[in-house]
Amino acid sequence: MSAPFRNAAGGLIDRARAVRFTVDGRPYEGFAGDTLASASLANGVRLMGRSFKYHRPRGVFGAGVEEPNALYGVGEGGRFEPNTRATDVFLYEGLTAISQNCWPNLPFDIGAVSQVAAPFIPAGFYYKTFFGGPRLWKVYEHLIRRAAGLGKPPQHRDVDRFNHRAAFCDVLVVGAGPAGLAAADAASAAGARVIMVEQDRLAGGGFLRDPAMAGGDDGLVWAMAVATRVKAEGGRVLSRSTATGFYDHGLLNVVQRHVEPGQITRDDGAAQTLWRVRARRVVLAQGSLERPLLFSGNDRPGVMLASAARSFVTRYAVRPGALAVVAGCDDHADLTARVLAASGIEVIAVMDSRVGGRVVAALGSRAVTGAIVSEAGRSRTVACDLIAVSGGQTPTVHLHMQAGGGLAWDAQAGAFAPTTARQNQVSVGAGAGRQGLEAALADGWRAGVEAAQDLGLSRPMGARPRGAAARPTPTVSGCCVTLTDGADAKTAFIDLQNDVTAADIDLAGRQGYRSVEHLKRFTTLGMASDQGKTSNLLGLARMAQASGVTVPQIGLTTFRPPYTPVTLGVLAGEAVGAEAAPRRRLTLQSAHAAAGAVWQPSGYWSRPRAYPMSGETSPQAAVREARTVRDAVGLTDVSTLGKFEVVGPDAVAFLEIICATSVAKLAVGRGRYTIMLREDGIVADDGTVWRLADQRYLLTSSTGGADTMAHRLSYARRVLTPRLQVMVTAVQECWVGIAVAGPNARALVDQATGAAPPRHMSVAAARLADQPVWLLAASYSGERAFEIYVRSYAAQVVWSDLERRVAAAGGRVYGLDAMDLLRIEKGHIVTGAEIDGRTCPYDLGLTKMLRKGGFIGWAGLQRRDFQRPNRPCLVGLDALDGVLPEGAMLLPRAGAAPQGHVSSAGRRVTGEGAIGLGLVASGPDRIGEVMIASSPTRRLQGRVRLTAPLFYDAEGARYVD
Amino acid sequence: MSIDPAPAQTVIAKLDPCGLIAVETWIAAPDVILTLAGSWRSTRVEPTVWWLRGPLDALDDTLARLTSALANDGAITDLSGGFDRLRISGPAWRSALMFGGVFDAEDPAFRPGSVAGTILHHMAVRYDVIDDHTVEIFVPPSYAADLLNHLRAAISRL
Repeated sequence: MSAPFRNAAGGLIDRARAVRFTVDGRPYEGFAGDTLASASLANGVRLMGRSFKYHRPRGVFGAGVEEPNALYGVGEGGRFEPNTRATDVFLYEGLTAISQNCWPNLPFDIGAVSQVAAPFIPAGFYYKTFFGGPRLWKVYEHLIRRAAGLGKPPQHRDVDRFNHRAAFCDVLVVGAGPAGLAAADAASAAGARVIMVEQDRLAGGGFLRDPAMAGGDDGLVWAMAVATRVKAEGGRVLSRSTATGFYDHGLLNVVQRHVEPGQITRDDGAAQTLWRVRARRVVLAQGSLERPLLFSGNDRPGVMLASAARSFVTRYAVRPGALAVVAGCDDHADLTARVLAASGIEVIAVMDSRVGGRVVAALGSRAVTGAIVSEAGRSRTVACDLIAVSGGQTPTVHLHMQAGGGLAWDAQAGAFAPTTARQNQVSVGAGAGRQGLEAALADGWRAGVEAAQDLGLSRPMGARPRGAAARPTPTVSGCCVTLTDGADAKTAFIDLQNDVTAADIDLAGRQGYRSVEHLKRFTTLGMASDQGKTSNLLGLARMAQASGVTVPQIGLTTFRPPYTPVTLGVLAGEAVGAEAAPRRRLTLQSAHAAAGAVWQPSGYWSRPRAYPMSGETSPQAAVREARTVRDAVGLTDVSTLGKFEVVGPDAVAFLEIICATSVAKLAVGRGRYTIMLREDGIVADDGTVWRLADQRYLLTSSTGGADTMAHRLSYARRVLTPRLQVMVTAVQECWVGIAVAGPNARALVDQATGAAPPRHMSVAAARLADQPVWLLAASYSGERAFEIYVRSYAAQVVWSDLERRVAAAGGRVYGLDAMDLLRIEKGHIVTGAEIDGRTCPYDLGLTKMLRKGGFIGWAGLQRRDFQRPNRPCLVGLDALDGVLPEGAMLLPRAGAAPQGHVSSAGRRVTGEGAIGLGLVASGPDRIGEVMIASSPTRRLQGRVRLTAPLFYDAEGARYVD
Repeated sequence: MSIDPAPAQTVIAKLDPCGLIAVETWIAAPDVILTLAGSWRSTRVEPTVWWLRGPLDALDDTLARLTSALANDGAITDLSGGFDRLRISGPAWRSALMFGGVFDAEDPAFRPGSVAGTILHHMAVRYDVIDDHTVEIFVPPSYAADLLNHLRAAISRL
């Protein structure tokens, strides 16, 4: 297949490797090393897209990530990626691309009729046109979205894999152009751990477009040598990697592509990796972006940035046209003209604004066919198919700004350049506004040296590289951000991607928009996938001109991550599906599964909710299991409780600071219920404390509060009580906890251990199934019960032994739901329901347990609000109509304001009906009152009688042997 | 040290349970701990806390010996069963720990004998660098299966 616009020699493409691809089903051929854009141009394809709003024909405009026009949907099925810049996807065999925002096809797009209506749909027209209620807007939105827009989102599940990977370095260099390479070379030579990232697949930056000498060698050869040296020193060079965000504390996100968009990964590897790089120093060497020029029809296919034209010619050996007009405001125009001419393109005219040369208009429809140019006040029309434009250079300051850096206006360059840095960052080379190769190399080298020296690295390094451009280095001697005299502002596009014209900016000015942020929202300037890389400054300049102020007075919009679009898949990384978060497995998981457990997520844990028997629902199983505990004996897994050993001569002193209840008088072998408060007096968690030996205590907390309690204890130990001689250790998973509860529990434990079990709230060491265990006689169910703690590696044998004995005693295993029914009936509070981050001990009826000071939260408890008589306090709730929705509001009467809520509810274990616990204003003073429990969202409502929060064994007789 | 060594021969395994004892002293004396540890491997996990690990069948004797030797100068807690141990052996163990991690395991200063407590794929873990080619990872048993899967996947992605 012939490629009519490909030169016979030259370029950085592999002519030995032909690559086939399709665009809208039509087959083409390029070479390895081509981009979709360069290969398309080589094949004579000029039309590569339709504009966002007016569906104007568009061609490739840039040669890199700044491309606003040539956007395709690339790939198929689960690998489809919309809005892919043709300039930023390298060819691979079988690449398929489809054009966007056109129907029925790209050359003949019905949507192009909107160009006729363009005068009636200027910027912000829909703000003023589509009025009405929310329902009407849904209609409008549908129509607007169909008429305008970019690519369509993928319809299939992403089939690729993505990595998240951390990396740390002394010096991160963003950009492997001359300045970045010099910085990396210097820092690496000094002994720094260097990471250099480059969004292109090749290092070299400007050398890829404008050949030059560096370090005494060809620039690209030197670039490869530097990369090799950096890697040899233990550094990392990441190609096809874009630093997309710069966050606090030297954290940068770098997205690395292992394959091109839509390409099938090799060996089932990852398609992309999101590197989270923590860098001690960051060198930003991102270069600059060329600005377009403002003239009529400056969006026609065939109008492109001068730097892009040079790229296509030099790197890809592609002629983007046959007859060229080159326009610019500095020496880039001259350089471009010579490069184009050398490649066989006839340069018709060079329009240098410094001497009055301007392009007034591009002629043509689907492609440029000519231009009206103006020189010394005289206009003429020339035939051409390429207009290469250069309106000056804008330093790429996105990451610098994201890192909080400041900018200063450079009037000569007509651009903002970095000044102050808020983090350990420095901008170098063209990205810092430096001009010329030699300046970039010197700047980069100095930054590398200084970064290394800042880090105390002083290994001897060689001499800095010297540069010499093959052609005279362009100097920035002017900028051109104004509309050419005689050009039509309505077809002079400032933002190609959003179809924002100079006239739109003017309109915004006339309508009173003065803030650049408002201008952005009104016109959509700088939005969408290119984020205004080529348009922002032109827009600001136009607005400044219209407002009669300077560009710095207008200011800048905020630069936010990401610098270039990222796929959602790489943000998610491995954390999809079952890998979204780890699942904590019980040591006895297989035993529970064998018993038929239905699982309940509980934080990261999965715990048995119930063990339904054939034909049972989970709620039915829960009631059966709970009744088994009341009538005989039950067995359950309580391993997830927080557990802490507190050991040492000052163990008591420490616990008295942590616990709001008394610990000092606890005898060896005894335990008690306790609560822990936050500093503000609110109950943080509850649990038990056991004295295992003279100076050894076991403190338990709730499952959900275990991690928080670990942090609280660590803080108290390290910060509040550093001088105490106490060791505090989280032992949550050292021990598997197995609770045996019910009237038969004592006899069962007696039989299993061969020793008299401890009495209620006592602890004893024992052996069970030939394993050492702790027996904690504590009850959550209201029955005589034991928590048996066994080392995790020996738990299976103990569980099996107990399961067999429980079955022989007429019992069964029970789950979380049964546990909940039992504790509600007994009036036990639980973290997450009654301990809800708002309740203090007074609210929960725990006043009598409190010590008189000396513990965390005591000062907070003295707040007057805790003495307020109408605070919500704990009560029992007895459903009169059989309905008691958990979470329901408690109303004194229908239509009245709520005065409390149902914190827990369930069926009675003993007897019928529903009971619950609640928090009601002045609750204890309202016992006997009937309220309405109402849950409008579930459409449930019923009457409840307030009772004491205790429905079972008020005397505690069930605990006594 | 190559920053991205070949993943070949990098393997992960779950180790058998071992005796694990936390020791804290009020008199901060590392040499004392090393002496007390004897043949057990000691790792300093906090400024005043060491972990000693050794054979499970020697646990009771070691606990008794430590209790006696420390007397009132410190305390011990038996952590046996509280952590599973995973071992990554091979040249790419450092790279494997960077997947889903937040700790700089690639730092050359993180050398044999170094210990780090960190988060890996949401899980609290502790690394103990055994030698240049081996790291052991302590993780609560409830997380061990998922961590093992995560690390196997990480190694496969190198």
